[in-house]
Amino acid sequence: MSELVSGFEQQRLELLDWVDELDPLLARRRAVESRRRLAAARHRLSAGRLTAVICGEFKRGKSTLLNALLAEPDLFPVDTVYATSLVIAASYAEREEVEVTLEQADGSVLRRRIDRAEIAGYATESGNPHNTKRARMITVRTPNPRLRSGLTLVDTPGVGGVHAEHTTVTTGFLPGADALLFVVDLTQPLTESELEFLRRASRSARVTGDEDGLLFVLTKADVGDCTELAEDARTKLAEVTGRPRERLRVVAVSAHAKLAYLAHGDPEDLELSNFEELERVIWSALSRRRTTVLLGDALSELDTAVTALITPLQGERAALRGSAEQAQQDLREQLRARRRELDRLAEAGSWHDRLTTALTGVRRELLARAGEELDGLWGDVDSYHLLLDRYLDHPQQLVDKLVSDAAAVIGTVNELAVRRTAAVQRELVLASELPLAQQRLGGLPPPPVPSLEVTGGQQRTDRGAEGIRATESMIAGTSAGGALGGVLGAALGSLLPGIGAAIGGVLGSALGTLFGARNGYRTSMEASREQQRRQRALALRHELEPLRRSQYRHVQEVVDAVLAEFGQALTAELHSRVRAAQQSAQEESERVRNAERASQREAAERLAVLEQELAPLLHRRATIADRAAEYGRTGE
Amino acid sequence: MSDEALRRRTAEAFERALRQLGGSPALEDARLSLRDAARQVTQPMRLALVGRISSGKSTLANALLGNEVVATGARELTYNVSWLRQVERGGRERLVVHLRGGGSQEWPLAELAVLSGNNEVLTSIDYLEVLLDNAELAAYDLVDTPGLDSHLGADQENTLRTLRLTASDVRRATISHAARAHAVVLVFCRGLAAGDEELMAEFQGAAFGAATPVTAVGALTKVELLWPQYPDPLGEGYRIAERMMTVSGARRMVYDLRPVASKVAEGAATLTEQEFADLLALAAGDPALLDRRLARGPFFASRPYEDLPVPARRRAQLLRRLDRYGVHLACGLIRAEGVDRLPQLRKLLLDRSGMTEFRRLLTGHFGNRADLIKLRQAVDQALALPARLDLGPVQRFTVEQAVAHLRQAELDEHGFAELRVLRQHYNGELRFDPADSAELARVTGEHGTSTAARLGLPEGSPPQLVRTRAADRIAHWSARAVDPAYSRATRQAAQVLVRSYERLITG
Repeated sequence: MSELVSGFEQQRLELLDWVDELDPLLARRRAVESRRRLAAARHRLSAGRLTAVICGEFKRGKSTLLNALLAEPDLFPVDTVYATSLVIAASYAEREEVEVTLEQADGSVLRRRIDRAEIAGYATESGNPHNTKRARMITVRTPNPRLRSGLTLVDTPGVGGVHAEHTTVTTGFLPGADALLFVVDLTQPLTESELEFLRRASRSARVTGDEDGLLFVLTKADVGDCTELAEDARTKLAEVTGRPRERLRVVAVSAHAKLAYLAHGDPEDLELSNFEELERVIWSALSRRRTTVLLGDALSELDTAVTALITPLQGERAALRGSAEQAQQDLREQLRARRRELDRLAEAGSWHDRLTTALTGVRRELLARAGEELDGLWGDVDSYHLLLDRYLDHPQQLVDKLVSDAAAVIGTVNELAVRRTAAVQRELVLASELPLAQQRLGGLPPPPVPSLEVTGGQQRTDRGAEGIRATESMIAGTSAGGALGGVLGAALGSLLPGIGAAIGGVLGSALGTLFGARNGYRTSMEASREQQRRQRALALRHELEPLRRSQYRHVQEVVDAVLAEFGQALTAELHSRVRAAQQSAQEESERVRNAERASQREAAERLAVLEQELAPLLHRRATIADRAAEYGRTGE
Repeated sequence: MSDEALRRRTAEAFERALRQLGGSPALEDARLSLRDAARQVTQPMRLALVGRISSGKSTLANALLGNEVVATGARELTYNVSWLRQVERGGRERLVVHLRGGGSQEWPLAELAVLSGNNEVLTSIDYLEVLLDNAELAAYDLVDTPGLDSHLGADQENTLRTLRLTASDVRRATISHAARAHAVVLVFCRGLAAGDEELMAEFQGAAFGAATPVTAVGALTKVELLWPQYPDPLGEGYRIAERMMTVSGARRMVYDLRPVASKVAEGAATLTEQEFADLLALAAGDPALLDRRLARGPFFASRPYEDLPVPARRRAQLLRRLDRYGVHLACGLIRAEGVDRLPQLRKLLLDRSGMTEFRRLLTGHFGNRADLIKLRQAVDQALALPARLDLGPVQRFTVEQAVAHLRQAELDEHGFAELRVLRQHYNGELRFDPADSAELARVTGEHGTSTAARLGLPEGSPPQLVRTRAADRIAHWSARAVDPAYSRATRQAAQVLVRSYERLITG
């Protein structure tokens, strides 16, 4: 395992230790809300995923690559053809659990526990011809040491146009991944659909500034002298992604050599496999942003909790020290004022306007970005795609392309929403003068708004399939399509950081609806084949107009639905912070009252005890700040 | 039953049609087209290789011809259609460049490199005609097409731009030349599963009438790359091919799909004595060690390895020639069969790469029916004339009258009836079990055109046996022809087969 992995692992363990150290103190001090928040943060940190999505055309050796990465040669069946429309995810658990998600005839989801040996029965063409079992996802949780640090590997189905709806939905989720591993077979030329996929992925990455998260894995580097093939591939990838060659992250590997090394232990096989380099590259992509976000979130919550412990003690100390009547008077007045302010904040109305204004700003920005992207896509249609014979002869291909392009725009916008709402959260907390670690831990990116599923927000605690269907109806016309999208979206959302099953469901069904809009185009356009090129291009453009309009509308709907979801989560989060602060202030008031009643001798004894209690807490707060400064630097 | 007679009668039908057309200047186009169609019959069978770029078409062509003749040396030329033909007796091997504006230029084969630097010529090529002295080309012309891809990598687009071509041009040229060919070999690259389905969908599109099981076979190339994960790559290739035939619906388009270790076959044909000596040396060593080293391809070609008796540079050369599986296979054959001469190894490699089988498929499926397929296409071309030409109502009537002679000939000819049955069978319109299918293929000449071959009897079987066997089959199919349990189409097909057997004994 690389140093980056063990580094992250150590950092995480340290923070978990600190949480465990603070928890009994919070319990003793009856800081109910702070304790709950810290528990939620602990959960986010320990369950926090670093998601690397593997994508590429069918038969590019993706299963072999997965097996080799996990050092488990037989986990995923490789010698048969993979079933279509299936997402496979592998993550860590103490005991192995394999689960298959099946889509039911009525559009609902069934999750079934299976064991490892049954995977082939769902995942392969021979075990499940034409995917008649409607398997949508297989999740494998397994005690594999390579996954312990929270790495989730997701294998997406091929990027080809054969299974368009699945491709559309998957495409929409890719911008939420922490790293994309694009698998290229050195011995085969890149296909049209691969190039198309890459153009889309690199475009999304440019918008969110995540271009370094796009990794290229050239497989089958064991065939022969492949320097030339690798150079060719590099050139082609540079051209497709529009990035200079030297800035592309390309690793040529041999999964077979890695598996041979696992079987026979010959170091030459390990050398040829180049897997050590691959792991290094994957982890450096993950730590580029995501590990910092995960650790930063926990640090900020730790800091808030430790501050909630320190403040009442400091208040009491001040009360004990301050003998003058006037000083005590001031202290009481300050406390009363703060509690009044907190009571006011507890009424949602006081900051609701600010929240609305902030979210409106985000909405405007997201719509503008989405608009720009869609304008770009449709501009290309007019200036380029309608001139190509291929699309004039096969208009359906153009429709499929446009639908997947729009899905990528939606996914990108969603990812931007995750980041912008994080910033809104920070601003609101600052403006409300709530305790917020970020003030002092400035180097770190703002942690994302915790999703309701994780914080256990009171409005909706349990969001199973039921909840997903409820959110689905938030989008008009969902019944036309989007059932698969909702199912797959919730499934994918649960895997991707910052999305969560609920927003995943919304996003997925929106993508499904987007896809559903495509179906009306088949018949009318085929009829126009016989016309002349120019006329055909014009006719096609005319026919596509409703699709164009519906895409702009869908994007708007998605932005609204996603922001509504974030709005609720933000509200729940702010309420929780206010509650925690109220409890802390309550405790402080009690301590101050008691202090005022204390005799001089009692006060001296009490002060000594307080200093002892405070010292380790102040030390902890200082170390938290040190770590924050450190991680903030590496995250730059 | 001879093709000779069939050809004569068809030629006569064309003559009658031409006479019927008369000398009206308005019908000059029709006359030219009809003459062109009639002439097609006298030309050799044209076999086109079609597939994606880099699917191994040129390698397959080289393997078929047993020589490295297809412009692998001059990259710029691979974007053009190459028509490989047998040079006229006593003629010089050469390249004829057909220019887009009409006219042509001749180039000695040795000067391909010069040509690839000559931009003026390069930018005006319509297609290339390569005249070779090659025994294989006596049986058929080979048309190597550049590729069906509608999109090419930017580097290739750059090359194309210097040639003043676009991807669409290349694709159009591929389609038009393939459509003019009598038969097509669809070349699939090992394991391109999703892409292949797209490709097949395109073949089935309107632009590609040529691909039916009667006129198309498939090659699954590059199966050598399955080694060492699959110790028997050809066997695995058969498994993949079988899956593609059933699951992906290839059966509707190609008669059969055969795996070929194309690189091994090409290498076998071009192997040098030095390389053979190196293989002998490697074969003398430890087989397990050799395989282990081969599995690490790049290291095999570059590391010193004292335990291998051939220096790295020459090992790299062997890999380029035969690929990893080829080296493994060759050394295995040398050990097991005691090979000590190069020609012997060549033959074994061709057998074991699937090439011998593939050639047999070509001769069986196309070669034995070459005349019939060509005639069929000539007649089809003629029958399409009234719809294709831009004619007034009177002239259209005249042309329709003229080609009616051909329609009559088509209906009368038993050979065409057999072709129709084959086509119906491949389209799944007939209720034939596997034994019936095998018999249909055999009696229509799949395994040879002699009476014995059509009956599935050894050559030189006594006349008595021939008659008994034919009578037996006539009885079998006659019963089928009147059995109400079968569909009308199946009963009619049975009737045609009865006639086929009758013709075998009545001559």
